Amino acid sequence: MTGDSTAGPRPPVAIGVDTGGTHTDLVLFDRDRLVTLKVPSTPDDLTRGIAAGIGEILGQTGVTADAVERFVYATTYVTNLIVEGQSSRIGLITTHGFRDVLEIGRASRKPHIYDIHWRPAPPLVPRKLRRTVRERIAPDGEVLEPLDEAETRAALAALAAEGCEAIAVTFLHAYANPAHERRVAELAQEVCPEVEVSISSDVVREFREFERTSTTVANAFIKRSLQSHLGTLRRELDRGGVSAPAYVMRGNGGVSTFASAAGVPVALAHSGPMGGIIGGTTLAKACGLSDIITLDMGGTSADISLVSGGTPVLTGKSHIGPYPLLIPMLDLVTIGAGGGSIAWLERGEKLRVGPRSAGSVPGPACYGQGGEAATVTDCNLIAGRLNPGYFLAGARRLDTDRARTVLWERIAEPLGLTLEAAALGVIAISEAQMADAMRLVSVDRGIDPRDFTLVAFGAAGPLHAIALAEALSMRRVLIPPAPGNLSATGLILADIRHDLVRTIVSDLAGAERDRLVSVLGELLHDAEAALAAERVAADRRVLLYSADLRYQGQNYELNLPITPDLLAEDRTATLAERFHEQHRIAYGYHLASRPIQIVNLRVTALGVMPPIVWPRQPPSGGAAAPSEHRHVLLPDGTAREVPIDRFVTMRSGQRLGGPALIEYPGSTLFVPPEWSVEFDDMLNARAERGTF
Amino acid sequence: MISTTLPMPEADAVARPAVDPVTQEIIRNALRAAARRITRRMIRSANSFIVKEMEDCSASILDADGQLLAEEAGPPIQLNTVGICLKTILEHYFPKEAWQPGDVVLTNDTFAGSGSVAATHGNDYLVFHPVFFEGELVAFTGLMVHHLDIGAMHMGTRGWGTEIFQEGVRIPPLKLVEQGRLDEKVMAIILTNTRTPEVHENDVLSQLSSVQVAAEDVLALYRKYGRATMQACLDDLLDYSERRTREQIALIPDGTYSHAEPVLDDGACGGPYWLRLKVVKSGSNLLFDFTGTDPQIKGPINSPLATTLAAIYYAMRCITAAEIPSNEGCKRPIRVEAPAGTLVNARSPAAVMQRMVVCHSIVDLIMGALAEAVPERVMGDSCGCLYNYSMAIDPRSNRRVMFGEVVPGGIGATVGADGINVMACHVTNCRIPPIEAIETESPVRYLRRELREDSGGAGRNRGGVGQVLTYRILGDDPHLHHTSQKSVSLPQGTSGGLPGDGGRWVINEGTPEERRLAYAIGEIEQLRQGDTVTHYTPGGGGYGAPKERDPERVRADVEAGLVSVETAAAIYGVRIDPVSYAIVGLDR
Repeated sequence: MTGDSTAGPRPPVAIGVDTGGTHTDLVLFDRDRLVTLKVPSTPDDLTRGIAAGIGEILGQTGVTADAVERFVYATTYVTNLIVEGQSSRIGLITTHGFRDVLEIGRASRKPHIYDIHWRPAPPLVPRKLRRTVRERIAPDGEVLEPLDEAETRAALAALAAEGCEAIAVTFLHAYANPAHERRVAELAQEVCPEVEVSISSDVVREFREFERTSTTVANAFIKRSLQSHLGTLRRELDRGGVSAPAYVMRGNGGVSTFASAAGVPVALAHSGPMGGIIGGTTLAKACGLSDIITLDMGGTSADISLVSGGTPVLTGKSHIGPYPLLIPMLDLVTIGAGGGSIAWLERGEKLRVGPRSAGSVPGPACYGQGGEAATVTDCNLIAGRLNPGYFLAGARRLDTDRARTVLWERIAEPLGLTLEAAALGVIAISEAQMADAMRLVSVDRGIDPRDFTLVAFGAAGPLHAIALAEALSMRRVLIPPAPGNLSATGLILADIRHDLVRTIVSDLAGAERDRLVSVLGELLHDAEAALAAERVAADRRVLLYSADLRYQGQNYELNLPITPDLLAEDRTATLAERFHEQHRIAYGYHLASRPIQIVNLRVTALGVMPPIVWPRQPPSGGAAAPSEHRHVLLPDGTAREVPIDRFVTMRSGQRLGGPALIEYPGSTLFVPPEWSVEFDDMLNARAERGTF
Repeated sequence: MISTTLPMPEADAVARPAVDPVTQEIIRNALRAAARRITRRMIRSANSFIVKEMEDCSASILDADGQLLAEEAGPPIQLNTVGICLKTILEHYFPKEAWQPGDVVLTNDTFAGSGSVAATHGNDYLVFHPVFFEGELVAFTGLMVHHLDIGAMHMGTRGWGTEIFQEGVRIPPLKLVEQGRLDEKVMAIILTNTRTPEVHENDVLSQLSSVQVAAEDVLALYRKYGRATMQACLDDLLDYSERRTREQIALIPDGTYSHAEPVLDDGACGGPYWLRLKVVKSGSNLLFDFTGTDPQIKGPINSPLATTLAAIYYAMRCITAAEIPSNEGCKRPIRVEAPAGTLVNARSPAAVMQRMVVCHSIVDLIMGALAEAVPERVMGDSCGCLYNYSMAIDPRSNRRVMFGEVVPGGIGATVGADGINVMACHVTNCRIPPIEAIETESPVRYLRRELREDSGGAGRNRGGVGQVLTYRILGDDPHLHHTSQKSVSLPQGTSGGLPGDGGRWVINEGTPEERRLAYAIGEIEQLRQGDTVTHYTPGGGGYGAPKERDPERVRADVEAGLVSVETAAAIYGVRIDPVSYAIVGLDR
């Protein structure tokens, strides 16, 4: 995917918007221009900030509203609704005898095993709004007891009378036969048409009743708010003259239309970090890199994801706040390590960093907004790695004295450390936490990270990227030209995506191969229908097949890409070989004579975006001419006058040796000694261990 | 009777290299991450539902002497015994010089070495992998896993064994992997003696593999920081936990506190038998003296000393401060007197499979003893040890399968909040398997799993309610293994709180063939295909006087169906309209 794609359609003029708690990032792509903008978020009504940002970026670029052909949106809106517990009053209907599936859950105290004062999070539906009805379905889908419709009508009416705006329905084994759940939805149309109904077989068609119920309830909890939010946003777009089709990023790293997304709103739960993974993956591909680890570090957290062979890994399990979700999402590890992470002393003697964050209000001490806690950002400032006059390109002045005072009083003096040692120590602990998370996505899965490239972005990512690469013995780091806006850029690169799955537990070598083939056929049909509903042209449609396999008796599967012909009788041995090999890599052993089961067949339906032409410039080469020098603390504890360069002066082919700092408008790259950087023709900073 | 005292060394005051707080924090986090990786791999590749869905496995990182450095939150009874067993192996079987790189030592023998400070019971296999740095043994990774079946009298070692020889194949500590090579002969013996060889082979291989991976992580730390720095940081880490634990202990008034708890309280197997404890608190030290506890019995509830110690360490972690980093340092202020041959220090050939009955009671025993001294640090009694397993022939495969769970029940209330409804109790902390998973794999249909009204002990803070669990067995020749506690001697409240309701078992409830099992615990119960089993689990004890409870909280409990209108009026003194759920009067 390089810039010389003369064949094929032209990529559309597109705007991507990524809203977080404090900032809204915008990207506008227009033929060969990629323009970024950061504006303040408007938490009381996010759509106001978005509309203002769109107006501003259109004004800056001279692109007219009606020229925009595509709008893509990513948001932490859904996560915030659930974490803050503020949304609609909802009811839950379950199978008779199982009123408390949501509250009992898996009944484990992990990880609070020694804390007798810990209590589980209250369920999103209180007990008085949980009702049961008589019905029963067997694991194979057989109806053991028909749905009691009179009881169902009564339950629906009672919940509606209690003021429920939405009702979730989860019946045992409904993943195997959704008939009863669907009938409840129909009856609700008659009994209480004003109430939103979410049925578990529509939201997630997998076994494990608690996790499925939790997901369905979360879905019901946010459905109305999200629909209204997307509706408002659509109206704001129309009012601003942007009539282009609007898409929203989902947790699976693909986009779908507002209408399609609003049906399963919980699939937007992890919308926020996905743009970064897609942006990092696509950018790396354009650079010829397919094995990468992405690091997206902002103010409160760091998102880390591994992409092998150019394809992010899809996973089915996650959490939103304390509540488990079974929805497809790109696999990532999020840890509470960001620029705002607070350094503190446990009992006045043991240094800890995070997971609490100073957020944007009051923010790090150096913001001068009353923050009394020393944060990672304060330490980077004290270490000379942040420029107090060029934070967010000068939009915010940082108060170094304030940072020094707070770090001294809170951390350095009580520990008997110098200010410098304390600052470097806080940075080192924070980096070690991120390195542990990077091991979790690589070494822990049997993947050696040394041949991977670290793609680091977000406001704080480039400050720590090279130290993290060192910690994992990675040799290459790539920093995109607009590290603060890569997540928004990823939005306009993302394909339309639907992940379809059917659970069909069957021996790989067994006699049910006909059934496998026919189920795959059904999946194909559904996949085509989903793409047709999104109006994806036939020549932009791509279908990817995979299967979840396990040894008979296991409950966690390994996902292997397949081609339909591998299900043919004489090809299953090939698939089996691949599974044994994958299992050995993941778990350190394999069982050559053990039966292998296919558990799920999956089809990923893509409406592929035409590749964009990344802006490139011819190499001009040469060494950079630093604009200034600053006193900077190096990781070994020494300090040196280090050259400071502005990214805006960088040209293709320019090289720098560490130690050096490169200041982007929304971020800073720290190049430690022993590393060097060269800017490629897309103005990516390509850092490698070694000197020129 | 011989008295066993485990001496715990005082912190030494020898000067050592200064500890850099940054390096120490990095090492602490990395060790925890390594332990976490062990259990993640184990759970994801496991075959038995006890591991893959219930997560009955625990990982620890230990130093070369078997001292706990870091752990991953699993069942506390396991976590606290991994190091105890390693110490016995080092002392009696493989001293430090006998270990080679690539070895993995395995045992499941409760009576390995002398006494009962080794494995906890036959189904829990412990494996240890050494970490060598520059030719020197510096650490171990350890993993305990509950395995499904090891060839006992009944599947899963269920039932009422009277001696250890009925509890499956015992494996003394041996190198199952020697310098990287698996001993196929031993493996063959192990796999020959199980009803579920496929499950067992997978789970043992997974266990061996998981423990090896984390050893690489620990070694990487030594490579990065060197021997001296690692040692200094780890010593200081343990000292810190000790210091903090001692500070917490010092807050307990000096004195001697006594308490007694019955087990087999309803007369099962000749019960009740008594556990008796005297806690002697002096300065920053605690002595737990079990003198006067009844002798071990011919039944499977005897606790090896290893698990008695684990239960004590668990209770102490709860009573001190949960955020203290969990390692060997937390254990140093504690001394234990547990006479050999009693319920709390079993001797061969005692049966021990259901030692958790005693272990759970030890936690309630300690909380009860200290309630007078530090009421704000303890809680009401909890549901105790509850197992509900059935075995039947699956008509689809014509093989005997086992299904069920370690059952959650009501948890005792604390000074600040109601007890938790239906939760894994104290020293077990197993997740319950999904009903949809059990029904897919086993010939059973579940009929009910719901909160149990009026089972939580009344109090200013209510004890957690228990549950009602009912299933119908569809397989042939079914056996029920039933373990429940506190059916007569109820889970006690504290600081004026009332007891929770007890537990009971009913077969074919609501039919002409309904019968209640005579005892909450006991021998395998032969059932018939199609029978239903209903288990009422105990609730937790309350905290504080019921009439001090905020009437609005009583009202909300009634509306939620956790407390009946009758109980609200009679016990809480709050009269509530059964239709509108409005408070209509107070009798206080």
